[in-house]
Amino acid sequence: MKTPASARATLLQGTLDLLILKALSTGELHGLGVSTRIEQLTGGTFAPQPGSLFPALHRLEEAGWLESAWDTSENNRRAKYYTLTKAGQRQLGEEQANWNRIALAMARALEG
Amino acid sequence: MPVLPRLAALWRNLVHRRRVERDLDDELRSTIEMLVDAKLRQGMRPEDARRAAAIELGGVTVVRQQIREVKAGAGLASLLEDLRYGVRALRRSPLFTLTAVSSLGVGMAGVAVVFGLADAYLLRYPPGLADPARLAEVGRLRLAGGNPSDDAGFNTFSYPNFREYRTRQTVFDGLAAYHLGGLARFGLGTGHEAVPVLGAYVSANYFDVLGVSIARGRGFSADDERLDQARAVVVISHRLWQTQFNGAADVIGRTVRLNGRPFTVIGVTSRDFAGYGLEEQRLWVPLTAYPDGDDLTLVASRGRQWLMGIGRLKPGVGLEQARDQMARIAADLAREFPDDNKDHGLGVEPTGVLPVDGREAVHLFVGLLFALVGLVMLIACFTTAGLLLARGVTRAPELGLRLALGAARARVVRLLVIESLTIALTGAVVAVALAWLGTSLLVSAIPTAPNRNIQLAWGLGWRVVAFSIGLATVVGLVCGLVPAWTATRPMLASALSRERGGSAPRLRARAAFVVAQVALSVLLVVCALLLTRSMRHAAGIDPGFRMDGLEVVGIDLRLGGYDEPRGRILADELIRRVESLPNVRAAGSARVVPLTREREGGRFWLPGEFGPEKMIDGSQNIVSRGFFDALGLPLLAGRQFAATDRVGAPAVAIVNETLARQMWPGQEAVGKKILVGRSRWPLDVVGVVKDAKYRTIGESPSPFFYVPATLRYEPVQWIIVRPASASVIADVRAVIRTLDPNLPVTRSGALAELTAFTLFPQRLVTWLATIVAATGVFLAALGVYGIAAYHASLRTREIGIRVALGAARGQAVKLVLLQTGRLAVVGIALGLSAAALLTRFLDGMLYGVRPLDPVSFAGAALVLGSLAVIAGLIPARRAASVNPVEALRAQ
Repeated sequence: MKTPASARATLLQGTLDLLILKALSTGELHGLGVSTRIEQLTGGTFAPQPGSLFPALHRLEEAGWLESAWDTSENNRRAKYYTLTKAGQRQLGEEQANWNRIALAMARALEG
Repeated sequence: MPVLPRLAALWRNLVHRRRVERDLDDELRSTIEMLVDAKLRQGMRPEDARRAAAIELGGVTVVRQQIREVKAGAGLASLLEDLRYGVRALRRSPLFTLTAVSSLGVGMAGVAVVFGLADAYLLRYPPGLADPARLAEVGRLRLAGGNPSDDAGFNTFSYPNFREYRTRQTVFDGLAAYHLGGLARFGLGTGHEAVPVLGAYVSANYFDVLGVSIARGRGFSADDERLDQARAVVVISHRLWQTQFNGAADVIGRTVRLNGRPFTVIGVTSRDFAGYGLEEQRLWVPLTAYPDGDDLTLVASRGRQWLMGIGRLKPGVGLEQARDQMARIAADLAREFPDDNKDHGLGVEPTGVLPVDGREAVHLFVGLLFALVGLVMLIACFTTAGLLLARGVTRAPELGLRLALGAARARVVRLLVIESLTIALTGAVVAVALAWLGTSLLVSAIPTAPNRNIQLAWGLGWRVVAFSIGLATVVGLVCGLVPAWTATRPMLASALSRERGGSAPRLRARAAFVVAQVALSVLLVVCALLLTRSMRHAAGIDPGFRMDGLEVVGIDLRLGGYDEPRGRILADELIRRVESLPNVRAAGSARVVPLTREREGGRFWLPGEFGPEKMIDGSQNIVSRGFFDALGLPLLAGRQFAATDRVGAPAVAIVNETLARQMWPGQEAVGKKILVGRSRWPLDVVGVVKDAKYRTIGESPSPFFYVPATLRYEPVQWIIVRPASASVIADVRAVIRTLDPNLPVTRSGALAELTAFTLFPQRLVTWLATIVAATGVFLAALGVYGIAAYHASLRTREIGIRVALGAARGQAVKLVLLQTGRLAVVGIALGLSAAALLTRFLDGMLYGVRPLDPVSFAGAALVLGSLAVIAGLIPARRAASVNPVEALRAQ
């Protein structure tokens, strides 16, 4: 990943979903928090824009993998916090395994 | 994706829409605030922080829209939103909505009425049958060289043939035969006054094959159809049971009189069954119970063709397979019994309400009606499309703004199409209401057939409603798409500026709509004028006798159980008594009532010429002495029939002018002889009467002769009376009742009323064409006015400048008029060309008017031309009268 800009541009939907689930696996976060967490997790390679992040959050919530609730933020602002549901945790496990398979296959293919 | 949470989300999004939206707004707002907080912490100035935050989020409205679109039921929710918006927009411009809805409503109503007619008579089966799609009709075809001839028909066959068909065929689960019409008219006596009842002679398996359930008693068994031992049993319809027997529980086993002979009632059919055929039947008797009693020649003779067949196809057997087998059976019978079966085949056709040989004509007629109402619907579509285009122009700024704010073009097109769909569906409601009204008017206007027991009547079913909704959807899409597409053509800059000029393609589309409207209206007006002129022509045709005031009363002596000797006595006495009624000026009897489309064939030869090529195909009527006086038909030479013209005396005839002129040009016809019919019956011509119209008002003169009723007995007779003043029908009926209470009157009324039936199809098409053309012209005028007003408004500024520079106002008017004039001329030319191509399809309906009648064509051009001028003149004058200063300032 030497060209983060182009990597950012091609953030696949499935990848974003997986990253969101991963970001939330360690605890609840609000929308912006998810974005920052993903940036940290990927070492700055991915920084999802609100235009794609928020629709994804709502989609995952409607799928039953996330739950949301209003709470007060660290700066004393009201914010909507997302947490992983049981189904979400299972989904994370599945997607993670899936991703590893694909990544391994891709790596092997590109090496050969 | 899991289904359950998704459904819960859908419920939440649709039902608690407000709360979900508010929640979303809060979330986005809090996100922005947090972003601003972050920027502030980085040391930005507050304004910069806000701007940076907004940029980072990427536009709150856009993000909100993106989120909405991933939510469950997004499509539905936004559709509802568009619908709400559309309805609101339509409520804001009531005049536009009213015009569009009413023109589409009127346009679709016509189509719905005709669809209702087609649905009732072409698409349905007679009621009361089980699985009617598996039934098929069997009829006899004329063959030419082994194949069905051009006039193959679909005709009756003999009873011996039927028995062969029934036993040899293997394609039907059962094959039944029935006889309707002539022989199956009964005089039903149940004690008091006899009533005429239409029934049918049927084979014993008739009810089984049709799958008719018998509500009471039993149907026929094989024993009821026996040649050696005729059984006088009858099954009656539920309706007859109710009307004639008051629904008596003990009706089974009762004895009734049919044409004077006793029959035992053995069954009552289920409520919805009224016989197979267009005419309602009320009773059924076995084929072998022929009421001329013990006379069984009809059933025994292979030469008497009187039965139609109907069979239930075996599972897996198709029409083609049945056709093949029946054709083979017919070919075998033609070999075995060549005398009666040569050159005849068998046909198998699907079942339906209409008789097989009448279907093609009805299809053509209904097709013509569809063409007429379809044209008006097209015009209505063009009107609405034009209105929508114009509306698109006035709404350009609003639509431009939507597009500029990032709405997808498809989304805006959808919004506009939803609007036109709303208009069309509202139009459908109007259409169904109008169609209901139209159908009831139409049904009440249909006269009853004089010699058939057919009452055409139908209502609007759910199929018509479904059809209207489907039609409206198509119409709404078609009318809405083009205007929506052109209205959203991306021209943001010009739309957002105050300039309201329509783009070239938009104008072209509108002009094309108006041209099409004018052209279709011209076509309709040509048709309407042709038909109206033809009707006037028909009304102006002299039938050859005085029709007004004439009254007729029909009897069928067989229905009273009369044989020839007794029938003659009764008929003589009846005429004598009617003639002596106080208010009767003249009275006579006839076998055929003029102008009811009925015809009694009269082939004849001249003495010494016997070959078939010398045969003259004339017609005849069997009349009593008073007939000519009653009709007012003047005698031109010779004498009238006299009391001395009786059996035993020399047989005589009176001929018409045409026959006399054609047979003996330049000679005296009285004293000549004609030889009538297969038996070459010689008749002395004793008189010549003026030509008249016999079958229809439009026919051309043909050879016709009259035979005195005293010479040839006919059980079917019509008493024709010319009253001195008031109607005498009641008196004539009273005479019949006193002579024989068991003899029913088959039909009575004014002659004009009875003959109305013969011209009804033409009259209906004429009415319809006139209404349709008037509607079309009105809508076209609206279209022309609209485009003229629009042109004028576009050029107000230019006209202002011209007037300011000293141009005469007349010139300004000319400017606008020229533009609309051009469209009108193109439309009229197109319409006339289309009419020239299409009016020949009306030929069969026209009397004394040619399809290319110049008067109708010129008239249509004139009507549309002058309307276009008027419709153009109003806005043109308004534009020209504008104050130049204001015109310049306005833009």
